[in-house]
Amino acid sequence: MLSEYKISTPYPTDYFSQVFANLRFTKEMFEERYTLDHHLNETDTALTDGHDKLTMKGITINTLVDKMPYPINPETGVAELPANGVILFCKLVNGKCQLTYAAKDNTNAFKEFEVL
Amino acid sequence: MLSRIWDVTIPRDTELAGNGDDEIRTLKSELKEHLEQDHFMDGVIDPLQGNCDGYHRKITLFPQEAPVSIPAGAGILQTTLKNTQPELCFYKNQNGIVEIQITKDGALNLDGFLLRNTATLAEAEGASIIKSFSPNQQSVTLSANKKMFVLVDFLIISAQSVGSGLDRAGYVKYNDITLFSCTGNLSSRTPHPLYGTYVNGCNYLLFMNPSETFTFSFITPGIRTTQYQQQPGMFIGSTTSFKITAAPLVTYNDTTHGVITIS
Repeated sequence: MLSEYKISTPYPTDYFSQVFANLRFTKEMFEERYTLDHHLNETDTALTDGHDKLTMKGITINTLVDKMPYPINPETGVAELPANGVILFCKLVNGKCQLTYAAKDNTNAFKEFEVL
Repeated sequence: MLSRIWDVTIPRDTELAGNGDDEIRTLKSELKEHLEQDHFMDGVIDPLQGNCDGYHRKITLFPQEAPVSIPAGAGILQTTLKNTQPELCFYKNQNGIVEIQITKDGALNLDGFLLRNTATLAEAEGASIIKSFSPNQQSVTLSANKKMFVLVDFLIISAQSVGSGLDRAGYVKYNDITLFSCTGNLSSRTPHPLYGTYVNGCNYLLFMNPSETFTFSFITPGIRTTQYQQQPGMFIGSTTSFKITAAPLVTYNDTTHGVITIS
């Protein structure tokens, strides 16, 4: 289990002497989340970070939910692909995860391809 | 090269209190340094831009062992060593963990795809569908419930009547692109043994995704004079004028068969 990620701590009433402990705890919280899918360089600065894997929770596309895979354009209120970007995600289809690739085609039309 | 290794034991409690702001800045720099290995952290703050902070710049995948478990409702994309070569694989729960190896020897893995007419064909249900349509219908839609390559043949036949005083040319189009066409008078064609005077278009190869449909528009040709209608055996039905044949050429060897639908 991960430590709860609180953005409300440290409290203003905390002792200043705890500032470094709080910083270390912040690093621990980041590490335990980041290392779920990434590896962190802890031995050699020449070894750069990267992904171990991509764990993607299957989602149902819902334009009314903020956590859908596409950002909402605040001016139009419509979800869209980021400019010059594509999105890889897991889409729930009949309760099963399908690796899905979203991109614009050569006519600039938005398309989703359920790859696997 | 990173500026320092990741160490969760610093800053230590013995650090000077006056260095608190320095340590906070150092931490922010460290987080940015690690994140930006594969993510954008260039200061773009509009999520509608593809290079907004937090989005992936690339995905570097270091080879891992095949997963022994997958979090509920999730899939895992990773590289797995296959004969010492890292290969891109996707894992999902489907009555146990299913591995789909996307690459092989560094190229697209086609092992899961099986050619039609082989003993191990994972053949789509509804294979070799043949369907006829009336002259009044002007489009036909193909869809599939899973990805597959489909071979499609069209056959258009001179209609028995096309309205008063008009000849009508025929065609089959996809997205306003004419695949083939013919004049209204098909009398010069060699009569088809079953269907009479005809024009056909064969071997159109489609790659179909489950979320896609292919809609073809068509007009059957016809002539007002009915010299060919009067000959017995030239038409197999009073309204038959357009036929489509769809057959899976290659389909993915998954646990369930695919289905082609023509409507």
